[in-house]
Amino acid sequence: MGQFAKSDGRKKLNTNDSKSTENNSQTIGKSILENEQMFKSLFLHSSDIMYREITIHDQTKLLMIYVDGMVNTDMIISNILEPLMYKGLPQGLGSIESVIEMFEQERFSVLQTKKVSNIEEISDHILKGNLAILVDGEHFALLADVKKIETRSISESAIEPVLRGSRESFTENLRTNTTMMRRILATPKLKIESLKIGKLTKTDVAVVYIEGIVAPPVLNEVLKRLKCIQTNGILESGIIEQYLEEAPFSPFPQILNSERPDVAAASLLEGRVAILTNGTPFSLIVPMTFWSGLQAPDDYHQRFLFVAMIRWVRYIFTILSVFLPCIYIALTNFHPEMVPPELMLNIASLRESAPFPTVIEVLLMEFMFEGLQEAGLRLPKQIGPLVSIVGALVIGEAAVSAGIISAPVVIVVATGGIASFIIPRYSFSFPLRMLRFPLIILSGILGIFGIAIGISAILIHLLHLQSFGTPYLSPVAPLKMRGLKDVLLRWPQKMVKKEGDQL
Amino acid sequence: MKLSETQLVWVIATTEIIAMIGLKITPTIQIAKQDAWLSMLVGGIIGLAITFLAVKLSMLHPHQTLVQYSQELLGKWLGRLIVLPFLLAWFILPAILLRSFADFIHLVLLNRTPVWLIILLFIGLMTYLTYSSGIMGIGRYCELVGPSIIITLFISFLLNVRNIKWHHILPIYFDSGEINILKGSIAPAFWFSGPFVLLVIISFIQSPKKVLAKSMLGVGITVFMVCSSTLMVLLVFGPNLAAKLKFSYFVSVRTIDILSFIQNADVFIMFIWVFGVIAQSSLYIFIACYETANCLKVKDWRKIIWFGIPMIFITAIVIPDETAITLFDKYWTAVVYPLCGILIPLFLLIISYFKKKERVKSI
Repeated sequence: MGQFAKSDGRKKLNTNDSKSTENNSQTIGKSILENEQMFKSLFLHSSDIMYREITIHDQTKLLMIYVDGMVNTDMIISNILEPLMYKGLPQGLGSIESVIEMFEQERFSVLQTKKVSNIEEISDHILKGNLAILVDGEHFALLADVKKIETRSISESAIEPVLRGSRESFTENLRTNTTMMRRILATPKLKIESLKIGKLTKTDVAVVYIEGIVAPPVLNEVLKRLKCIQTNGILESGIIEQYLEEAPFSPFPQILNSERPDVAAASLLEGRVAILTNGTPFSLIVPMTFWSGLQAPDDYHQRFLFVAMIRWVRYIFTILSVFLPCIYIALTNFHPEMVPPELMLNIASLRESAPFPTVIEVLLMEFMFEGLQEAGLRLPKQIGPLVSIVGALVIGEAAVSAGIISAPVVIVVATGGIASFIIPRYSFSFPLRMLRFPLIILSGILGIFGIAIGISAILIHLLHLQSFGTPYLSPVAPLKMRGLKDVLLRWPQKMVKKEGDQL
Repeated sequence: MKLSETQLVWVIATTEIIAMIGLKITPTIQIAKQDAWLSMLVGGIIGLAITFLAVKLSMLHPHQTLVQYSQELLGKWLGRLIVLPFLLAWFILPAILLRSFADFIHLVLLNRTPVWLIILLFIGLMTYLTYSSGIMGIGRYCELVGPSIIITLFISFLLNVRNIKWHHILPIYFDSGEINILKGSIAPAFWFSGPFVLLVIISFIQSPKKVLAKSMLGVGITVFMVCSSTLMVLLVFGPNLAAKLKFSYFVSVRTIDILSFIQNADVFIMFIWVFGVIAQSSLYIFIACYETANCLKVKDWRKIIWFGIPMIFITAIVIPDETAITLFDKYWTAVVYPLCGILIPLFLLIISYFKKKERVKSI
């Protein structure tokens, strides 16, 4: 199905191409009037494109084209308009051959400039917020970088909070993000390769890595797959992620995302590749392993013993979040002899009035819990508390006292749900939440044998899964002793040999 | 497809421990009484010797599987003829194992679920594992499951310490004598080295330097675990009772009772065992399909899976009852293993030596 969709999209793009190629590969002419007409027809029905014509000494005509609101007007006034209006063209033109060249040297000596004659390139630059200056009689346009785009300031990450560590997170602006990376890793070995993806959005995408540490096959694979992307628009790095990942039907994310420059930098130091996308604060980090989904950003900033303990708490809760509901079903329905007798009696007496079989009960509650979670996420912030009140009251209290749901099930589902919140990477909690349901059904049909079958299937899937050539479960399977130490315990910094082979 | 040396150790240990602790403890106790653990030890030594033979043979033909080098040594047709019993054994063995374990699960856990459904679930997972990643996946799977099995076994030993009665295994040696101990050791010996899987899987190892040591380590771990499990069963039940229990190790776990909180832990052991059985049968299925493909010169061995798996499934269902499995076991010890595990490898080994000498001379 995916293939059909892709080829379909490609066809569409091609038809788009053929329409617009007529004037795309052209270069601009010498006559300023013709050029103006051409740009006006190119930007037809675009009220935000400004054309400003200036005549100096009654003979030299200049045309400035820019997008209103994307350029720094102060700069244009002080650097171009004022001097031209009041002083006229500078003297000593003789040694300089063209007006464009004069501009480049005298007026924009402090700005980034470029001389271009290709129409497509000029229009691209205009749309990205550059100023284009055309001069009558010259078939070049001078492009000057006077961008001024409103951006959000750097703020604290909302979904990846840390106790200890840098508070800044990426913004929507790619340049700000790359400067943040550069500030952390002040080395010429930090490479930032940029690409444009998307036929219409022409989104800037930067591939960031450290030369010498990064594994070349991974880097090449990333670049290769990025270049293969054929789409009209990239609005968020999540779209790139879906193009890059190897197994789109796997519940497990194969690419890590992070809002934090320090997490991205730490990953680069481990030999990974980060992909920054303009327009989103979420960077993609590849390759990803199962264990990196369970590691918090500040795991390495705190003292060893505490982190070692917390890591194990995290592992155990992760297991609980997936398996607690199905273990409860298997034990109460299939193997009550494994539960201590008094406890089993308690559960049985509480279950006496419940009308549904345990499996249905658990499924209902899990479904409600997922609903609550989603509702809490999408609600306007002012109504947020309402969900928690309704959820706690109706689903917790009332359902039990009305005898619809038995109390142990509420406990089990709530514990499992809370356990899933302990997972530090939000995208990594999705597979665990999803896998709960098939496991519940399996254990409802086959008891503990069903759970074993389910776990085996998940395990086989994980063993087969790869992220950019790195086995998903490494360093546990295939086993690498040095990496394993970091998975089991986070060792004191002095004892860790940093060689970037932790993958 | 690659297999690392660590994975080799775990593939051997996992697959053998699963089969032996599940099926071989009681028959050995029936023959050697309270000295069954000595039988296991003796069997282990014989098993190590057979392993040595298999590894030596494989190392003479690096990166070649049994089917490939037997054809090289004996020519196209004789080479194919000689591997036929192997292929037959590899196809029947997983069926037998699946059936015995499915029967066991049917008996203990799910007596209202039809046996064929249990087998079907197993078969489905095995197809998935074998098809998706072949020996690489099986190696990684064993790497995870093997240590878990051993840890579980150790914990079960520790928890069972309270039920030990030392007089159960006394007197050592004098009651049974060397003949009974040896008799008891033959069946385990033929299992410790595995059903000739080493002849194939060693070819997947990249650097065959440490293969001998690692294979020995794998078999060694198996011998140790099986021997201590046998000892544990004997210490808990004594030889007379244990000889009557079909799955004596699982029953011994049932006697664990700590603070009335940890009890009936055999269900948990069964849970772990499911993983082991999947690993084991997948390995045999993989080898069967891979070698059949080699034999028939099919390039993509995965195609064979679509014929092999239904065959195994049907065989597993068709097996009429327990007696057929016991019969197969006897046949295995009397004919199949001596032929495939010892005689043919020995024969091939001798031929390889001669061929090598010839080659050296001609150079």
